[in-house]
Amino acid sequence: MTRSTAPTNDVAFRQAAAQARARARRLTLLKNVGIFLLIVAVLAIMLFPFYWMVLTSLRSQVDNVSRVPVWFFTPTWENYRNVIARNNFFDFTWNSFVIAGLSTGIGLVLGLPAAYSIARFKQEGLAVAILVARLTPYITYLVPWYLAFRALGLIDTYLALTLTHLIVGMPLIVWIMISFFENVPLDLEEAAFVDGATRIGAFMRVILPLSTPGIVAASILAFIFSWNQFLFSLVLSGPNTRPVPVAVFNFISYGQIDFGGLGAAAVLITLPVIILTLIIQRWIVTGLTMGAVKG
Amino acid sequence: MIRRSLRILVFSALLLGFAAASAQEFDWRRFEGTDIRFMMNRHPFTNWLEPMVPEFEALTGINVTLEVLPEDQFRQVRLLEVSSAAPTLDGYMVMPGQVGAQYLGAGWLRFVDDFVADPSLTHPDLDIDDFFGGAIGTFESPDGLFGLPLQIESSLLFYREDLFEEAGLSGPPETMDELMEYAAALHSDQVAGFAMRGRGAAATSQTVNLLYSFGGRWMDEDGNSALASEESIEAHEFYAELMRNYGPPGPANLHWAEVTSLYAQGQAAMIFDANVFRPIMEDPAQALDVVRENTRYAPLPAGPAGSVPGVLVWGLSINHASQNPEASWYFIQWALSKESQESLLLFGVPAARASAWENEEFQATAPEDWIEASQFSFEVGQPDWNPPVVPVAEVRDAYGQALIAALEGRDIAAALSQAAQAVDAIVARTR
Amino acid sequence: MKSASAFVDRYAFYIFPLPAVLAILVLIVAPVLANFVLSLYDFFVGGRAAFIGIENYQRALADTRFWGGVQRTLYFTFTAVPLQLLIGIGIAVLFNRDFPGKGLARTVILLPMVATPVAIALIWALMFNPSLGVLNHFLESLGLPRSLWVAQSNLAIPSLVLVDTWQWSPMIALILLAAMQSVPAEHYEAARIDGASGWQSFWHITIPGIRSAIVVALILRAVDALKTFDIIYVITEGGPGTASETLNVFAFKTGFQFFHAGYAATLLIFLMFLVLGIAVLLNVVRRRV
Repeated sequence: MTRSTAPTNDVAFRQAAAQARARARRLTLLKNVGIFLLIVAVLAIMLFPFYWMVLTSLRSQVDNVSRVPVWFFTPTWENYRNVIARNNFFDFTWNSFVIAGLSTGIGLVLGLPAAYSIARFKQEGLAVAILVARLTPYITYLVPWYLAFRALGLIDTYLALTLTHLIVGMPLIVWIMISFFENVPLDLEEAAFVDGATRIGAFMRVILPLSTPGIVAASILAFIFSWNQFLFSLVLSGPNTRPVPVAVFNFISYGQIDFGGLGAAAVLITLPVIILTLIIQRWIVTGLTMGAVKG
Repeated sequence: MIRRSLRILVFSALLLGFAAASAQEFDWRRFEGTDIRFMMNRHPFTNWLEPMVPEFEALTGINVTLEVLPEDQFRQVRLLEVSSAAPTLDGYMVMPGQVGAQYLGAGWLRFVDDFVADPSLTHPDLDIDDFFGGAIGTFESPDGLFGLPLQIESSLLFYREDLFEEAGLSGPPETMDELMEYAAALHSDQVAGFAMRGRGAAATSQTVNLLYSFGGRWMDEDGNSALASEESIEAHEFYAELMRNYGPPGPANLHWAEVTSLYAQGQAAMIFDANVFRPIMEDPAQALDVVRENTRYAPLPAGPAGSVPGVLVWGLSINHASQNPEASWYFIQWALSKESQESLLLFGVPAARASAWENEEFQATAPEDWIEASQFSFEVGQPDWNPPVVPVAEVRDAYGQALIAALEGRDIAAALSQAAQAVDAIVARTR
Repeated sequence: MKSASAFVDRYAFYIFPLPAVLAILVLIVAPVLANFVLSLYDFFVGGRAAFIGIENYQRALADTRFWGGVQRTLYFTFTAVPLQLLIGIGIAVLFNRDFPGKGLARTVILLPMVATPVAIALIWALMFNPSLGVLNHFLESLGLPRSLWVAQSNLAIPSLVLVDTWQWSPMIALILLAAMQSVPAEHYEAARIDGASGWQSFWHITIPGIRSAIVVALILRAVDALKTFDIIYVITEGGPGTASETLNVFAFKTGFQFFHAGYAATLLIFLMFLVLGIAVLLNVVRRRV
């Protein structure tokens, strides 16, 4: 642009051009600083509630109910001790692990063949049906479930909770895996058939091993969603099966005075989820959008 | 089944001449090794009970699990578990005035008359006649006795004498008009003049005190809701004026935990809530020193119809689906024995046994004004602190809507008449 | 053995999806059908069920609380979703460049949407507390008056919208970010040569390029916002009064606090049609763009 065709490079023109460039550089710099600050602001807002959660969990009761927020203090582990010792926190965590683990496992067993079938045989109607199950409000199923489980004496059993949590995990697994299976070249499968493999054999020994990363991502997502599930567990769990979200809601409510305990419980329940998220962060949005967006 | 085979066993024992091992005698260790689970409200009674449980376990060999939930969740979870007929729940805290009609109607309570009549299951010192008539009465139904009362509770005015002195006030307000004047005199940016519950359905057990004292009622002679009566409108206008002008910020958010913690943290000069919360105001971990040293108690100030507080009774009952009703009955007897009730009263919870109130240590240590105000309230109080209907939760919810409307400055008469219609519709549907 | 696998091979089309289909029939289709049956009964749990025909539907249509619930559900959704879209686009534009720590920043904005909603809701409830909450402290230090947040009827839903927006704007941002990266760089180059300003190229190149992603994000968010339960139930339980009682929460209370299974089923049928109706409607829009 600045390369002039005329050889008459008079001094004034060059000075003006240099000034313009400097101004543009200053502007770019200013713009970059502005953008940088905006990004920092966005991140600060996203992180603040977590920061506050941790702070609350480490503060004493007196500091937590102070009229003016206390930002600097000597941290105390008392709240964690209380939550863990007094409230059987480990039992609830175990319940959450069992329910999320079982429902994810069964979700894989049911979901993987279905996803393969949808991908291979283009069963789009089935895919849509599973999507509708995801779109329908979960609470719609809850009243009949409650009455049925009550009649069968299954309230407060891992069975009831696993079955209901299946509704959270299985559609997710199916939709993530469809696109994975679609990307497995047909040739590989056909080569297996030529070698005398059955459909199940090819599926187990060729397709699934090639899709391991997808299966891992889908399983972890299904696990997280089951871990976070509140509504089903609120109604269908009991003393033997109560998972962490309901336990936290039950033993510490807004009305309670124990802010520090609340913070500690919130940290403990969120921590596993955050760790899992770090492992499969690429897949989170894919999962949340039922595969509508590829990570 | 077990009991029958036990009887056969005893009978054979008698035949053989070993009369010493008679099952007629009460034996604390009879249900050794049984596990029972009680669901409890996070209530001062529970705070008293929790550290005592090992004593019971050592005495009987029965293992007790107390599941303690904050009140709202407690109600919700108890309802779900009791209705699901799961045998994992053996007993629970219950307020007959609240859910008695619903639970009895659905058959969710286990009657204990057969236990009371059986000297091998009921300790000779239980002395049921020792419970206040008004307290045990709420556990009596035409079909039998469905539990025992643990406390009799009424709401009192808690006030800060030091702030009263600063404001030039002497003694507690005796009438509703005085209450308003005092609240105005005490109110500032830092300290609310007055606080009581405002959180919809949860507040109705407190506003009923105003309703009664202004001459209102739940139901008229025809069994229709009387919430839209003139007296009721007057009571709720008073409530709205008091709370809107002299209450803490966000009155529609106040449950008892908020009300008591505001007061304990020195942010309210007077509160009106259950007398059972006295221990909070005496606990250095929860209340500021200035609050602990200066708290005084008085009965509900008199309205146009006098001072007519509601009287609430909490007790322990056995779940209909329990598979260990006998062991649960052991636990209830022990938790509500004379000694236990004395200890409970010394802890600050108004016990349901007359004998406990005569305890000398209690009379010497408890604040005199608390004793007097409590006893006065029990005498003049009304047991129907809840509308006498089956769908209580729904009716309280409908009434709670009117309270929110009042606290937010909307048309009170209109809100009450809407609530009354809603209540009538709810009652008609569940009839 | 051989014939069994031949059978499977031959009918793989039916056999592979069969377990999942059975699960869906039992766990999803059956309860939805059961709701239609239940909705014809007056069933107070613990009492007896009585057949009452379409009375529950008539009752719902005349119930101001039902209509209030519908209204609040729509109010919540159609305030929250557009707000999240705007903020989401903003974040996407902001993040659609190279800057140090970009990977970390993308991870950070994932946290609100994966953290356990109950924990999130409890922390927000603490921050909203009118007397002790940190949000009022921020307002005061900015010289603004204190707010009652969820303790005041007309602020309850806006406060919940704030939580929902914090939680879900990042998801929209990440969806759009993925779409933005697939807009060919040459288009921007060409626009720059034509002398287009940054704003013009955003409006004429970026937005058309990510249009379908925007619609997908809108559908997903709208459907989820319509059925928001956790944060509303934990923070306000629908209160004060019914100020934040969405259809979802009202149906839950009717079923599991007031114990009217029949009426709750009726409300759930309405909710289901509302959500699926809006999903279909938005899907029609999606086909148009």
